[in-house]
Amino acid sequence: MWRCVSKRNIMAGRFRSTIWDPVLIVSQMALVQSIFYSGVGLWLAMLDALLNAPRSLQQVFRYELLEFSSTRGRVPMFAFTFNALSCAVGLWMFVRRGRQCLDFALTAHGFHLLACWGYNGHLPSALSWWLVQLIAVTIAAVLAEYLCMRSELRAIPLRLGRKVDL
Amino acid sequence: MYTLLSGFWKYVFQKDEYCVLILGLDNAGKTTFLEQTKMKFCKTFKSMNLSKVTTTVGLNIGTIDVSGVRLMFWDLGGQEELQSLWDKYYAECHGLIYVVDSVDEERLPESRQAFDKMISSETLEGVPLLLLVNKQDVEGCLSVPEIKTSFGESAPKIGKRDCLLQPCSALTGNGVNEGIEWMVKCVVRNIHRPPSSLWKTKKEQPIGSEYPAHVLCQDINKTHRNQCDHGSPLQLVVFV
Repeated sequence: MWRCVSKRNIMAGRFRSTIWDPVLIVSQMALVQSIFYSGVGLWLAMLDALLNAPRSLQQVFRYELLEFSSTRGRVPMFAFTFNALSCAVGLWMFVRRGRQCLDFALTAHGFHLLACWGYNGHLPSALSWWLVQLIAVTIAAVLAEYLCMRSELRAIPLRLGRKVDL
Repeated sequence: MYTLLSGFWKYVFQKDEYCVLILGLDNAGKTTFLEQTKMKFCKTFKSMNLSKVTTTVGLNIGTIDVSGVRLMFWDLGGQEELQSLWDKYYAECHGLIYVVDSVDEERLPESRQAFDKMISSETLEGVPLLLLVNKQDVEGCLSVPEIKTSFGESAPKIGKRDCLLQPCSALTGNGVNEGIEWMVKCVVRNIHRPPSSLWKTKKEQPIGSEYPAHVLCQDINKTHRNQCDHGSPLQLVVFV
């Protein structure tokens, strides 16, 4: 999707479309969500293998498992924090717009909150969970915006059709 | 999610937007007319002193909301070097306002020439035209019938479109309301030029193909250089 979006923009010589495209936004949301969960899964798998902790789906969704004191609790904490980095790269590659990065990062974590609510049956009361999510959102949004700004501020080449004597 | 919802909100509640070009010779009173329109239709607008309006290089844009419709005015510079830029805007416009200076009798043929050139353009077919006879507050100005006779030869070129000859004074504000209200009615009524919509693809100017910025600069500078030997080339700053 990234390739056809970028090719369409570059080949048509257009900078950016200014119309509201709900299909694009919804598919981007779905993509960012899948990047979020696959990232969490991969980081959890790596950290579990490194620290020899038992792997389970509960690490993703259960609130009580997220705590700073035990090794078992620190695994999902670090996984979510590192996941923010991979989410930022995903946002940079597929959203490519600095001002939408915060929006998509919040949406991804918002859907994760809903999923956790469905899994646990109640909203999270533990402060550590909220703190981790807040830090993850901040890292993802800021890093993604930084990366997008860097590529957005590149010079735009003007196609010179003929030699111009100004 | 926010972009999705805000886009949906704008899609449902956005007013139709129409672009209106304000053309005419330099010193006809186009920018003054634009400022006067903004003063009359925009409640929060703090205008500058109308006697301090200078020549426009480039263009001025003003937006007003009237009768549930949004009008975007493009006041283009009227100097001879800048008249070559007028046709670049024809494809996107929904209405035309041509301002005639009724005090300057010597330049009336020149104004008519520019009017002819503009009105014969194919891209402007069916676009409603408001011919404003400006500076009616000055003593000794030409009256509307006199302007009508001098523009009489151009009448067949106007063709099939809504047309109104309106006397006005941009400095005092007489005749501005009637002109704008007529323009709104005609522009809404014209089914051949629908308003630019949020849902349909906007026809954007592709960068680097048809009208690249450096060609526009070259256009201005070529004519500018021909006019004066000592002048330095004008610089157009383009924000992309």
